[in-house]
Amino acid sequence: MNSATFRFSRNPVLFWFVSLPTYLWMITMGECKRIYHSFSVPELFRTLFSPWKRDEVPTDNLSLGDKFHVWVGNLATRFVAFIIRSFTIIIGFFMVGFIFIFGITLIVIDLAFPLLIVLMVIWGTNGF
Amino acid sequence: MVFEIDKTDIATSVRYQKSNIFKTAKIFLPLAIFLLLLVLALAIILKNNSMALVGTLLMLVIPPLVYFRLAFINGKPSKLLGDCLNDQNLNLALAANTSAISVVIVGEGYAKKNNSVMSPFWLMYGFLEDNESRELFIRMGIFINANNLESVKNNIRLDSSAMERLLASSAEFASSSGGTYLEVEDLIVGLVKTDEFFKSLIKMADIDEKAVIDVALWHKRVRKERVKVPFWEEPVIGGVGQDWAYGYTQMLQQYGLNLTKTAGYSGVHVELFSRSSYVEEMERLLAKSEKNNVLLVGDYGVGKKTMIMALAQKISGGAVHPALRYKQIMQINVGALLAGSQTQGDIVGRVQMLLNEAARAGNMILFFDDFHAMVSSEQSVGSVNAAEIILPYLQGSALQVIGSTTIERYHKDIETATGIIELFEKIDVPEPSAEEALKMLEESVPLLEGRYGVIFIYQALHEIVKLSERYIHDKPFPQKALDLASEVAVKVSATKNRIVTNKDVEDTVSARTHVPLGAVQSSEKDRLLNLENILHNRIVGQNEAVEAVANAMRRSRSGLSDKHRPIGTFLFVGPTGVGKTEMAKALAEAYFGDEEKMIRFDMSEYQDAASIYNLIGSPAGPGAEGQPGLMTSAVHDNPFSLLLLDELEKAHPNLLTLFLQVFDDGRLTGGNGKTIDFTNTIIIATSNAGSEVVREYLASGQSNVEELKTNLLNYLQEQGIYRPEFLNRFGGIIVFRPLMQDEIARVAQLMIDGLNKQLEDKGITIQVAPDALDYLVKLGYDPVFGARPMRRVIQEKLENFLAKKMLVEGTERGAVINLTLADLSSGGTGS
Repeated sequence: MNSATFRFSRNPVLFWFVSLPTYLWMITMGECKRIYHSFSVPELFRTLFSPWKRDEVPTDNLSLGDKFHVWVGNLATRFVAFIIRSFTIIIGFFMVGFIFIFGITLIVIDLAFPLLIVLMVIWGTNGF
Repeated sequence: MVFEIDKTDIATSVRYQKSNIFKTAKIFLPLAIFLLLLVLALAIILKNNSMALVGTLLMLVIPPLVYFRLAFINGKPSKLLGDCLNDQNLNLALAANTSAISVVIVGEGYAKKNNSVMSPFWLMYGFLEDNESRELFIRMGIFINANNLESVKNNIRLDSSAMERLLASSAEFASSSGGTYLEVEDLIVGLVKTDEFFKSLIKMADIDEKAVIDVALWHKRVRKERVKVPFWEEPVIGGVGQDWAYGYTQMLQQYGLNLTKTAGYSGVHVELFSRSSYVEEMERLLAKSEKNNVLLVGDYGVGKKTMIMALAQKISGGAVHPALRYKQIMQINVGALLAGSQTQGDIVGRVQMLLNEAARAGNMILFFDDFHAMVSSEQSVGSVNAAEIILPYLQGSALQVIGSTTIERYHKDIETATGIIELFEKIDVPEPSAEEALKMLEESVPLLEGRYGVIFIYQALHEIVKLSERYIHDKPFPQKALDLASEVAVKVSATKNRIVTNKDVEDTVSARTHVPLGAVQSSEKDRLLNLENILHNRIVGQNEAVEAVANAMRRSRSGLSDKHRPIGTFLFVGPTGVGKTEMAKALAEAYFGDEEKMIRFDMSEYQDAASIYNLIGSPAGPGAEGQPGLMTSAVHDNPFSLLLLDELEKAHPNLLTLFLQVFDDGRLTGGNGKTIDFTNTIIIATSNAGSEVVREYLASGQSNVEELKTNLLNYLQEQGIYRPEFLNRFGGIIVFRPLMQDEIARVAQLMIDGLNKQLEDKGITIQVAPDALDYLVKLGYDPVFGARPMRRVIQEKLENFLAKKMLVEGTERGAVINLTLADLSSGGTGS
C-alpha cells in the first residue's frame, strides 16, 4: 500500500502522538474535500441562479398563449431545479460536517488514548 | 556523505514488512477494534465492571496492532533529497524511499552472509528481490538471477569505497532529474556509472549508459502512474450535480461523446510529456476571452485527438486554468447528426438546434474532428456548408469550438470559408521527429503492456521507431510506431515468453515487408558472401555486372548505404539477349525472396510527353478527378520491390528528368500530389543504346572493360541519348558484353535444367547428349541477339520433339529420355 501523505515513525510515542494524528488529519481533510466535490457544491453554488437567466424551452416565434405556457413551464422547472440544487448543497455540507467531526473525534481518541486506558482501569476497578 | 539506513524509520518499516508475524496485524486489528466496541457496549448496557477491565486489556493491544499495521504503508521518506545534498552531515538514507531502502537492506544481508564489505555487487541481489527493479532489469534486456550472481561472486573485486561513489552518483542523478527522493532507478543509474560488473552486464545486453538512464527515467514515470493511491487522495471527477449545474443538453448527448467524462472514467492516464507544450497552448488559447476557438492542423495520425483527450483529462481532474474548470469537451459525430436529413433545410435546422443547445448550456466546448467537413463548400457525402450558421455562435462567448483538420483541407476548405479563419487560433501539429516518437511510444507502451500482458524491453522501442521510420511510409509518426508496437504486442502475447525484444520487432517488420532484417544470420551471411555464386546460378558470364550488384547489396544489408536513396540504382547497358533482364529477376529473387517482387515497365510505351502521366498519375482538373500513375501506384503498393525500366533510352527525355529526383532523394511526388517513397526499391534501367560500340570494341580484339565503359558513356552523351547529370545519378553503370559461344552453351544447359524442373511433376528426366547440345548451341548462337534465339531453338528442336515422343510412345514416371543428335536433327522441327 502506498500513500503520498503518510510518514511512519519507528518511535512508538512519536508514531502515536505525531504520525498517526497527522495521518488521520490528512485522511479527514482529503475525504472532506472529496465529499465537497462529490456533491458538486462549488459548481452548484456558482451556477445557482444561472437557470433563471436562460430558458430551457425557447419562446421565440410562439403565440402569446404558447409563450405563457412555456413561461409557466420554465418557471416550474426553475423552482424544481432550485429545490434539488439547494437540497444537494445542504446534504453535501452535512456530509462534510459529519466526516469532519468523525475525523476530529478519531484524532481526539488517539491523543487521549492513554487517558482513556486509565479511565477504563478506574471504571473496571471502582465502577462509574 | 552519510548513508545509515538503520537510523531511518523506513528501514524499520521494511523489516516489519519482511516479517510474517507482523503481517497478522492486518487481520487482528479490525478484530480487536470490533471486540473492544462489543465489550464496551456490553459493559455499559450491563453496567459490568469486569467487562470494562476486559476492554482495558483490548485497549492495550490496539496501539501495537495499529503500529505494525501502518508500518506496511509505503509512505514518504522523512527528509527531502535536496536537504540531504545541501547538508553533507545529514543522513542521505532519510531521503530514500521504501524500495531503495529495501534493496540496500537485502544487499547488506548478502554481504554479511558472505563475510564481505558492502559493495555495489551485493545490491544486485536486492534488485533481484525487488519487483520493480526486476522489471527494470527486463526492460534493459538484462536477464539474470541469483544463481548467476552466485556463480560469479568470487571473481568480483569488492571495493568498500565503491558504495559511497555509487550513492553519490545516484543522489546526483536523482537531483538533476528533478527527483524529490532517492529511488531504485537512481541506484541503478549510480550502478551503471560506477560499477564495472554492471557495465559488463549492460554491454552483453547491447545497451549503453545513456539508454540505461532513459530506461530509468521512463520506468520512474511508468511506476508513478501505476501507483494506486488511497481513496482519500484520489481527485474527484465531476460529482452528482455536475449535469444540473448547466443547461440540459439532450441533443448533444445524442449526437456527441463527452470526452471530459470519457477521459475521466476511462482509467487511462493520458499524460503527454512529449506534447505537453501543445496541450498547454491549447489550454491557454481556450481560456482567452476572445478568439478562443482552436483549430489543430496536421496530418492524420500525428496525435491531434490524443492531445484533446489529454486536455479533457486535465479538465476532469481539475488541474486546468480556472476559466476551463467546469467546461465539457463534447465530440460531435457529424455523420450521425446529418444521417437521415433529406434537405439542406433539415441539415441547417439540426445544426442550429445543436449549437443553440450547446450555447444555452454555457460550459460546452464542441470538438469537430475533420472540421473542414462542417464548412466545406464542396458537395459530398458527410459534408455540410455550415460556415454561416456557426459564425454567429463563435463570435459570441457562449460557445467554444475545437476543430481538427489536415493541412491540405485547411487550405482548401477552411481558408476559403468566409469569416471562419478569423475566429480560430491555429495550432500546427507537425509530425514528430523519431526522438519525439520514441517518447510518445514510452507513454503508450504501458497501456499496450496492460492490455496484452507483455513487457517491452527498451531496445525494442528503439527498434520500433527505427524500423517504422525506415519501412513504413503510409502513415506519420507516432501512428506508425504505435501501430507496429500493437502488432508486435499481439504477436508476442501468443507466445510463452511474453517479452518483446528487438527480434520480435524485426520479425514482424520482416514478415510485413519480406525484407530480411536484424542481425545477419549465419545462413544469410553465407548467402551474402556468396552472392556472386548465387546470381551466377542464373546468369552466365557478366562477372563485372554480378560483382557490382552483389557489392551494392552487401553495402545495403550492412547498413552502409544512404537511407534516403533507393537501395541500389543501376543502368545495365549492352546488346540484347545478354542477361540484363535475367539479372534483374535473379536479384529480385535473391534480395526480396521472390522473382515476382519485380515491377517491370517497358519504357518504349512512354515515348511522348503526355504518357508521363500514365506513369506518375495526373492531377485533378476542372470536372475531372486525378488519376493514379501506374508506376507510383505499383511502388506505393509494393514499396519493397525491384523496379525494372526496360529500354530506358526510348522513354521521353522529360521522364528521365523525373528520375533525377528519385535517384537523389528516394521519393517522387505523383501527379495527384502524393509523395511516393522509393528508398526500399532497387531500380534497374536497361538500355540497348550503344550496343554497336560494345560489339565493335570487342570485335577489334580489345578487352579492357574500363576503356569500353568510357567509350560507351562518351557515345551515349555525344549522341544525346542520356545527359551527363542523369548518368552520374546511377549508383552503377554496368556494361554487359555480348555472350561468347561457350557462354551460350551454358545458357542452353540452364534452359534444359529449367525444362527438367518443369517435368519433375511428371517424373520424367531428359538428358541431352554432348553432340546434341553442340548442335543446339550452333543453331542458337547469334552474336547480334545473344542468347535470345536459344529460347526459340530449345522450343522448336527439343520441346517439340519431346512432346511428340511423349504422345506417341507414352512415358512412365521415372522415365529418363536420352536425346541424341539424331533425334534433334531429324524430328526436332515438329514437322
